[in-house]
Amino acid sequence: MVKTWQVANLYILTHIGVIFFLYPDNMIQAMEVSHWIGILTGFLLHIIVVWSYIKGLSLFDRRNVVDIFLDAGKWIAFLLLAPVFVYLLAVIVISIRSYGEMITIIFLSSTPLWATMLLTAILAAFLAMQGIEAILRTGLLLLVLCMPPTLFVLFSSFQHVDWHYLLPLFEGGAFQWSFVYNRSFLMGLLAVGGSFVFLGFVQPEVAFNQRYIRYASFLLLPLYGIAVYVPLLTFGHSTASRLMFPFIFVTDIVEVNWLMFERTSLFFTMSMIAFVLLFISLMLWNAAYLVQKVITVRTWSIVWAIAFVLFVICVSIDDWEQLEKLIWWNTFLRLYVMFVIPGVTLTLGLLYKRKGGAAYG
Amino acid sequence: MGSRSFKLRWIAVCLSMLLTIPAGGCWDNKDINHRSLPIVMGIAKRDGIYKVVLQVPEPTEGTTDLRVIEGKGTTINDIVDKISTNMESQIDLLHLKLILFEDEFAKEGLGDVIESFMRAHDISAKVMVAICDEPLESFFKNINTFHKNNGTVLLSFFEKNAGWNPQVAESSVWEVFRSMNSYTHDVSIPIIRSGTGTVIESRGSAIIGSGRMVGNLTPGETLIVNAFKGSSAQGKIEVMKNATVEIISSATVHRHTMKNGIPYLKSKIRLKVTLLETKGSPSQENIRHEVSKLLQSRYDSIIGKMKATRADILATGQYFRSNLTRDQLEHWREDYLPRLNCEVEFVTVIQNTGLLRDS
Repeated sequence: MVKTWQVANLYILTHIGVIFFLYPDNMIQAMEVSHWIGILTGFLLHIIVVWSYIKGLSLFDRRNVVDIFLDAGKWIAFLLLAPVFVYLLAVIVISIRSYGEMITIIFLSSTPLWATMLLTAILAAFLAMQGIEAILRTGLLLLVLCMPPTLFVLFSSFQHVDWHYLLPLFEGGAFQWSFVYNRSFLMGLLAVGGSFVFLGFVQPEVAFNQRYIRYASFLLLPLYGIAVYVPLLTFGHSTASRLMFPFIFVTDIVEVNWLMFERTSLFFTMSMIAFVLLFISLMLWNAAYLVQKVITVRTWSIVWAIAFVLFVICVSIDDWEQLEKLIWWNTFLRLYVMFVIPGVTLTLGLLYKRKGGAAYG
Repeated sequence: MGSRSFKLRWIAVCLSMLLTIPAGGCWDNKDINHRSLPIVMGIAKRDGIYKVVLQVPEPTEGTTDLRVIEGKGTTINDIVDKISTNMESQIDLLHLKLILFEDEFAKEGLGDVIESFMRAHDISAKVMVAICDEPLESFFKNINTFHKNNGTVLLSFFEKNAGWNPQVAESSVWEVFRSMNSYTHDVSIPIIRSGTGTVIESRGSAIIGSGRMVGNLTPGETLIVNAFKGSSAQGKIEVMKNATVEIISSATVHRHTMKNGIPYLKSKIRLKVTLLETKGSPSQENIRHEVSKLLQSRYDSIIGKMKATRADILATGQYFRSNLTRDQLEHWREDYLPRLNCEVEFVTVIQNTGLLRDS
C-alpha cells in the first residue's frame, strides 16, 4: 500500500522528538558563535544521507534494505547490518534512559526512574509489536493530538528573544569547520541521523513516494534552527551553555497570561515524550525485523525480549555521565549508519540499474 | 491471527494500563489539602545564616488568611525542609510567585541563591524577584495588618495586568541568572517597602550587576529604563513645573558605531503624550521642550550610574556584538562600558490635548 503521507509524517515526528531535547545543548556546547554554520552543516549532512538513501531504495522495486543486502550475499548482509542492529539497540537504550531522566527532572521528581522507564519500554514494545502499520497510524493520531500544542509552544517560545544575540554572524573561525570534530557536535548527530534508517525497512508492506520525503526533509531545517537559536537568543551563549536542557528551559519561562495553564511547557514536553515513544517503538520494530531475518520467530516474542533486555540495561545505567559515554560510543556506530548504509544502498542500486534490473528478478 | 496472540494482546494492554496508575505522577503524591503553597518567599542573610520567611495563604471559610512562617539555617533548601518538618503539611514551592531579598543580602550577592533556584525544578524560573529595604519581619508584619483578607496583594503589585506601573522594574529569577552569566546584559529589580497609606511603597529599583545590588534607580529613572528596553512606558504621569502629561506610547531607535575602541550609541526615543493638567497656559512647544529636557537629564543620570557601577542594565553592549570579538565582549563591562558615548534624543509629540482645546 502506498502511504507516503504517513511515512513522511512519521519521519518528521520522530525527528521532532529527538531534536528538542539533547540537540540544542550539544550544539551550544560545540560552538561558541555562529551556530547557524553548525546547524546548516548538520542539515546538509542529513539531506545528503537521506536523499542518497531513498534514491538508492527507489532504484529497486519496492524492496527493503535487508532484502537488497541479502541479494548481494548472506555474509555481506550480515556484516553490513550487524552494526545497524547494535546501533538500534543503543539508540533505544539512550532514548529510554534520557527521556526517563527528563521526566524525573521536569515533572515526576518523586517517581523512581525505573517506573517511568518501564512504562516507556512497555508502551514502545506494545506499539512495536503491532507492526509498522500500527506505528504509522499512531503517528497520525499523535500528529492530530500533539501538533497543535507543540506549534503553539514553538511560536510562543520566541517571547523573550533578543535578536541582538544573533550577532556576530561570522566569527570565531567557524568556517574552518573545526567544530565538526567536536565531541558535542558529533553527539548532536543523534538528531541529524537518528531515525532516517527506518525508511529502508518499511517496504514492501508500505510503499512511499520518495519525492515527498525529500520535500518533508526541508521542514527539519526550521526545527533545527528554532531548537538551537531560541535559547541562544533568549539567554546568550554564556548563559545558555550553563543550562542542561536549554530549549525545555525556554518553554518553561514563557508567560501567557490569557491561558488558564501556567506552564505551557508541560504540553510541549508531553508531546515530545509521545513523539519519542513513537521513535523508540520504530527503532524497536526495526531491530526486531533484523532479528526475524536471522531466526524465524514471532514478532511479539522478539520485541518483548529485546525490550526486556534493554530495560535491564537502562536500569543499570547509574548516572548522566555513563549515559553520555554511551551516546559517545554510539556516535561511531551512527556515523557508520549515516554514511555506509546509504552509500552501499545507492551503489547497489546504481549497479542494479546498470544491469538492467533483470538479473535480480 | 490466533486466539492466543489475541489473548496476549489483551494482557499486554491491561498491563500497560495498570502501569499508568503508579507512573501517572501520583508516586508519593500528597493531596492538595496536605500541602502548603507559599506564594511569597523572603530571604535575608545575617552573619552568614539565612533567614527565610514564607507567606502562605490559607483558605478558610469566606476569606483567605495569610500565614507567615519563618526559619533559619545554612541553605535555603535546608530551611524549607525544616519548616516543612515542623508543619502539619508539606511545603510545596511550585506556586511561589515572588521572592523578596532583604537589601543587605542583595548587596552581598544573590549568586548562590539564584543558582540554586535555577537548578531546582520545583521553583519556576519565572518567579519575580524584588528587594525589600526594611527588615523582612516588619515588612511581612505590616503587610499582614493591612490586608488580612487578600493573599495576593503583593503579587498584584507586580503583575502587568493588575497593579504594575511603568515606574516599577520587572525581573524574574532567570533574568537575574542571565545577568550573572551574560557579558552584556544586566537587570534592574524593584525595591519596595511596606507603605503607610498603601500596602506597598515603591522605592525605585536596584541595579544588579553580576548578581549583586550595586546601586539604585529612582522610579522616574526606572521608567526610562523600561522605555529604552521597549517595554511600554504607557500610563506614566509626568509631573513638571507647569504641566502634567501622560505618555501614550514610546518607540525607540538605536544607532551604534565604534570608533577607535570607543562605542558610540545614538538613541532616539519617540514619545507620544497627551495633556492632562496645565498650570497657567504653557505653549505646546514649551511642554514638549520640558518633557524632553526632564527625560534627558534622567537618562544622563542612568548612564552615569551604569558607568559608575559597571552594570549594563540597558544592555547597551548588545548593540556592539558585531563590533567586538568574543574575548573583547567578555570585558565589555570593564573596558568599554565606562567609555560608552551615549547620546539620546527625546522627540515628544503631543498627540492630543485631551477633551479641551488648547487655550
